[in-house]
Formats: sequence, C-alpha cells, structure tokens
Amino acid sequence: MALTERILLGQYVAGHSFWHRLDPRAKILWTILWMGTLFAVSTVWGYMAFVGVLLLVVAISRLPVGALLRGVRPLLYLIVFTVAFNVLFTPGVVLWRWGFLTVTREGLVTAAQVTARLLLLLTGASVLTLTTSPLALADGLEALLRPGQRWGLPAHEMAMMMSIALRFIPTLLEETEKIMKAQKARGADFESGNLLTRARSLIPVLIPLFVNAFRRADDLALAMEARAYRGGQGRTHWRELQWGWADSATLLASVVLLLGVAWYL
Amino acid sequence: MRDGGEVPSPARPGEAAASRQVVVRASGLGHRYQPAGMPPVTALADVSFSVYAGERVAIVGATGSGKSTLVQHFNGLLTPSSGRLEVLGEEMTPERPLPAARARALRFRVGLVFQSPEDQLFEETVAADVAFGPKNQGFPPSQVQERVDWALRQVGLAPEVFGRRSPWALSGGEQRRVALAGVLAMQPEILVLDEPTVGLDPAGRDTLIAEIRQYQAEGGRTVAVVTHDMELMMALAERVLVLARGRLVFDGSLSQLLARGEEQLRLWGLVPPPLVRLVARLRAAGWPVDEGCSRVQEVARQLREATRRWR
Repeated sequence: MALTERILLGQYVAGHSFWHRLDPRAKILWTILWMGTLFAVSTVWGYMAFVGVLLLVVAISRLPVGALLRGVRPLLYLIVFTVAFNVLFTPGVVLWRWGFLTVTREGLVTAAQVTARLLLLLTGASVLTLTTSPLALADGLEALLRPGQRWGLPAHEMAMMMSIALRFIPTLLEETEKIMKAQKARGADFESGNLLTRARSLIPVLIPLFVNAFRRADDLALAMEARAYRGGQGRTHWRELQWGWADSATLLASVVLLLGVAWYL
Repeated sequence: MRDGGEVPSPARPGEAAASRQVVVRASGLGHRYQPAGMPPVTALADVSFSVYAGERVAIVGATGSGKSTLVQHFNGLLTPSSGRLEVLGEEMTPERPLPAARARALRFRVGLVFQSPEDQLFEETVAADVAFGPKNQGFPPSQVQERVDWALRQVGLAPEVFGRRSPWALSGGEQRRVALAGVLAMQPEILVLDEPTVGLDPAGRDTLIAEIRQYQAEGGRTVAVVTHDMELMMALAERVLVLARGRLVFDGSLSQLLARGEEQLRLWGLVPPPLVRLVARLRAAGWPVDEGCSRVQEVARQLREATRRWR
C-alpha cells in the first residue's frame, strides 16, 4: 500500500459539519484542553469517558472512522515498543518470569495506560487537522499567539512556519514514495535483512529526499521574496475569524466535561 | 550517434513481426487505489495489449490517463487489482502478486526510468550512483566497473571525466543522463521510460532520443516510453498505445494513429504535432499527401512528386 494511503496526519478532509465550521481558535484550544486533561486521567472509567467524547466529536464532524484509525498505523511501532518496555521493566508484583524477563501487574497496567494515552492523543489531535484547513489553522494559531508579540514572540512567523510544514507533509510523502519506487526499480531492497541492514538501505531514499527538500525550501524562499513577502506587519485578511456563540458553547461544554472527567473519574 | 537531426527511419516492419515473441501481455488489467480520506480511484480499467520483443512502443495520453500507473506494473512495483499481466514469463494477478524476490529479479530485466530521474541520485560520485543497480544485481566489482563505464559511454558521458564528479555538480541534462545510465547499467531487456524528455532543451532531447534508440537497436531490445511529448513519440515509436481516463482507446502503428486525424487526437487529450496539422492542411487544400505521414522527409518527397507530375 502506498504511503499516501496510510498516513493521515496533517491532511484536511473538506466538509461542512458543525465541527468543520467552528472557529479554528476554538478547535486549537479544544485540542490543547484535550491533551492537557488526557494526562490527568488515570482510571479505566476516565479513559472510557474520553473515548466517548472522541466518538461524539467524530460523529459531529462526520469524519470516516476508518480513515481516522488508519492514521494511527504509523504509530504502531512506537506503541509496541513502549508496551514491551513497560511490561518488561516495571517493578512490582511478579505475574510471570522467564529467564531475566519478568512481567509484573504494574507493568501491564502502565502499558495499557500508555497505549490508551498515545492513541487518544493522536486521534484527538488529528481531528483538528482533519477538520481545519491549513490556512484556517495558521490564522487561528496566529490570532492565539498575537498577545505574545508584546514580549517578542514572532506570532506570524511561527504560524507561517507551521502552515508551510503542514503544506509540505503530503508533498514529502509523495516524494518519498516516488524515490523509494525509483530505487526499488534499481534493485534496492527495503524489506529484508536485520534492523541495521534495513536502516542502511534507507540511505538512497533519505539523501535525495533531503537534497530535494532543501532545494524546494530555497525555491519557496525565493518565490516569497519575489512577491515582496514581509511577514505579518500590516497584513489584512480576506476572511476574518469570527468567534460565535457556538464556539463559546462548544468550548465551555468541553471544559466542563473534560475537566469533570479528569477530576472525578 | 548524435546527429541531433531526424532520427533514422524505423526498422523494417517485418523485423519485429518475424520473431513475434511476446514480452508483455496485459489481459483485462485494472488498477484501483484508495487515497486517505477520499473515494477510491480507478487508474486503469480493462486494459489489454501485447508488446513484442524488439518493439518501440509509445504509451501516450493526457495527464492522469494512467500511463505511469500502467508502466509501474511492468516491473512489479504495482500489482494489478483486476485482470492479469505477464512480463517476460512472470505472471501477476490480484490473487497471486509476484513474490518479493521474483519481483526484484524482474526489475533487473525491466529497467524503469522514472519521471525526473535526477531526483533519485544519492551517491557521492556519478560512478558510484550508476553502480547502484549492477551492485544490487550481485555482480563482482570488476564487472560492476565495466558496466558503469559502458553505461556512462552510452549516454555520452566520458567515465574518466564524469565518473568522479559529484552528481550535484552537473547540469540538469547531465544529471538526467546519469540517472538513465543508472538503469542502462543493469542492461535490462525491456527499457521503460516515464516522460524522459520533460524539462530538457531541444538539443538535450534529441541526444536523449538518440541514446535510447542506440540502446534499443543493440540486441533488439524492447523500449516503451510514456510521454505526452508528441515529438518524442514521432521520433521514437513505431507503435502507439493511447490511454484516456484509464482505458486503452487506441493500439496500432504510429501512422495508423496519425491517420485518425487531428480531431480524434484532441478528443483523446493529445495535441497533434505540427507535422500532422501540416499534412491535414495540405490534404484539405487538395495536395496528394498520405494521411499518417510521420516524417518530414516523407511529406517533402510526396510534395515534390506531386509538383513534378503537375509540371
């Protein structure tokens, strides 16, 4: 299966649902709230409640659940790795022992918790990028960071950097895929051998990828320069962000719900 | 060989027909894929054709017609999602994709040069980059060296001069030729090129075409070129497959295609080359010129004959 079919992070799925139409600032704040409260949860019921909230949001935003889950796949190795580490190296009540390997009850619990956290974190965050166009996302971020300008925070530049990064994720994925295919056509083998051999086999992919990325960055800088781009100073917007009652209501409801869950469950 | 002008006329038609050995056979080939968060796309549907050993085939069509997808099946990079494909005796079906090792072996026999192949250069020196393929084939160093020198000479780059240079110190045209050498060094029986002339200047294009033809002529190898460059098609192909929206809409000789006329070509998303439009105008004005004339010299000869007769 192609890379672009697998990785969803940073890709916008156009739509007109309630969640799509929310102010990007509301959605960014919601995501921060989601991440913050998620780390305060420690019980099974708490995680269940978070799953419930996530399902509700997904239902409201009418996102394809399959697509959302597919986006989790690249994280699989990280999860397997963390689970293995936690299961094997957490001290506590020993359930099972084989040679130097011991499985403890505490280890299993931590592993389950870490997995749940990682999955909820990633899917919750992808709801933001899936329902918000990169442009709206950058605008929202800039508006939220603007108060920091007083203390020298480059709000506009940060938002611009983020939107450029998001913009180039699909491009880089496509490029990676093309280069991998081209090297495969010359007999490169990415699938066999041990970890070291496989890592080394990626050199013919990574070098051209970096070379092209730098060249593209140069071109982009030149193109921006050529259009006299001078950052956010005095810049106006075609579409002004408008905070409505729906944004306040959604955010307020989420604060009450998520904080409540984190506090009581 | 680099005369830069008109490429010699195609091989005698009987030549390829005499051997008639099928190297690529597609039957009902289809390819569908599913981009993330979007409805599935049918890139190819029910494509059937055969390519014979020693043929020069152009696969043409508008952007998004499925040309690139089609040729990526030839060396097993993609597996058909319906139908069947046979390449050099290796069979691929949706139920039975080619095992990884066999697919890899096939890639050495079917050399695929991607679009803008200069984007894939990665080694410190030109020679090392060209050596990537033959090294993967498992040749001993001396033979790898031999093949690298041979391939570089094939694309008109002296190995003594260019071999040690960094690929990034070359011009765009030279980089493209290095990338082509990287595939030629594997000496594939079938050479497939995806839009090889995009972004080259006219001189660079003529040189490239000459080099491809030279490789093809040696040992009667098969060449398939994916392109929307009609000049390239006219200069290189004896046979043309036209794809439109993932379907094969034409399969025949170059002159048969040109004889279909400008209007039909435009319907397929092809812009007829100036020569074809000239022939159409001449015919409309009553000149006895054959429809489907693919060479300037041929048109000139027919016009000369006609004027002589009238005198």
